[in-house]
Amino acid sequence: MEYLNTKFPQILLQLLLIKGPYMSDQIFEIIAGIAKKSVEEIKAAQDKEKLWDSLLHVELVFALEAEFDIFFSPDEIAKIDTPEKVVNIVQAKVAAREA
Amino acid sequence: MKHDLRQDGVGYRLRPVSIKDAKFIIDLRLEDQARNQFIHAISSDVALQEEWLKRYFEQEGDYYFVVENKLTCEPEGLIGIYDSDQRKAEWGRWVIKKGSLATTESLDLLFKVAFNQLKLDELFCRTICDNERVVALHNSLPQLKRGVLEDFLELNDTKYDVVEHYVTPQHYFDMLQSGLEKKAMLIFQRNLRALIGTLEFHHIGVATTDIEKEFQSYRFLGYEREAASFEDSEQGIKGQFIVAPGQPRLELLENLVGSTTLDAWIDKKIQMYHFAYKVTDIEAAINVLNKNRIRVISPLKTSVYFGRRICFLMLSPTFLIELIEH
Repeated sequence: MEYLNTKFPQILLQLLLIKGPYMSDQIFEIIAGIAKKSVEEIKAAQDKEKLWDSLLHVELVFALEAEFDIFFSPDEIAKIDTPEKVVNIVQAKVAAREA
Repeated sequence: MKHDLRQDGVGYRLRPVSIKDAKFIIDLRLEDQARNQFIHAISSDVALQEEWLKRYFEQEGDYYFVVENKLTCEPEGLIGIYDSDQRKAEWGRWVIKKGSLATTESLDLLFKVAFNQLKLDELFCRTICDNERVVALHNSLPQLKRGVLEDFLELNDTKYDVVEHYVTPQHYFDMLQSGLEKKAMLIFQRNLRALIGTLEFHHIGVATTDIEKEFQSYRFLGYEREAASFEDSEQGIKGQFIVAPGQPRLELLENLVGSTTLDAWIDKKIQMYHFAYKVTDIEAAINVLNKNRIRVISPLKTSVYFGRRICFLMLSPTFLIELIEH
């Protein structure tokens, strides 16, 4: 039990690192579906803004919150304007929830 | 122009822009420089914006709105209808605060103003073709597309082609309204959750003169006692929760001897008089409901049955909402 208590944060981190690539693929698929682009297009434009319009941005927020059981603050909603930022913020929120 | 058009939705409302909104307009327009690439420049001088608004107040057929969050009563965007000739008008000046989810409902409310209040035959918008993301938005809504007007708009000494989209009342009512309203409801529920946490329906309150007599009627519908009855001297009532599969939980209530708590409903022969909800943050919920003119009629007090704080608010003269702290 003591082993688990001391090692738990490291085990969790390892699990998240394994989960990371899978989660980012999941996020790219969600973005691609909403932006009506291929996953390859989204992956190739990870740091690009304006890949989706403001109506689709609302749909993206809903889809991500439902898929990962998270809740974005208004500040986070404003920040997730590139695929890369979406991945980073979603992964951070999931990690924070599971920590 | 100075107008008094208002349009309430579920989560947002449109209200006329006033001179006091000058600073908000500037802050919003300057919030994201990238967004300003394809619109007219704006100064950060509030006095200049106030001058612009004074000129706008004199312009016939020009309706400028603030998009306001109904839950917080805070402004979150701007939108307008202008160059109206009574039959058709252009819409635009659409800017929503970053991080706000007002986009969908503000558009729906604008169409409602155009077709329900102004009775227009057509609402059109013109977008610079190079502004690809906004053109895609108008295409995907979908609005009807009329075509491209070449070199139509000059901005910062550059001439731009614009694409014209339009919506007719029939197109809005048949193709857009239902979808926009559904999305607006989802956004409202999400915004509400962000402010007050969960809001979970719990029961309908039923005013009776005799709980046991009333219960016998409900047994015919499959209702059973959920637990033993209870008495709450603080509220002056006796209560009995009853449940049935697939039907709402009911709280049958009668006055304790000497109490008049339920008389207002019994005298008017109103039986079902309140809906009760469990909420995570009861103070936040009261605050939000107060902002929507739903007033508290009994202060927070601890319920004997729930062992948690409850309060009643007046939704209408004959109907109450009960909040139960979760």
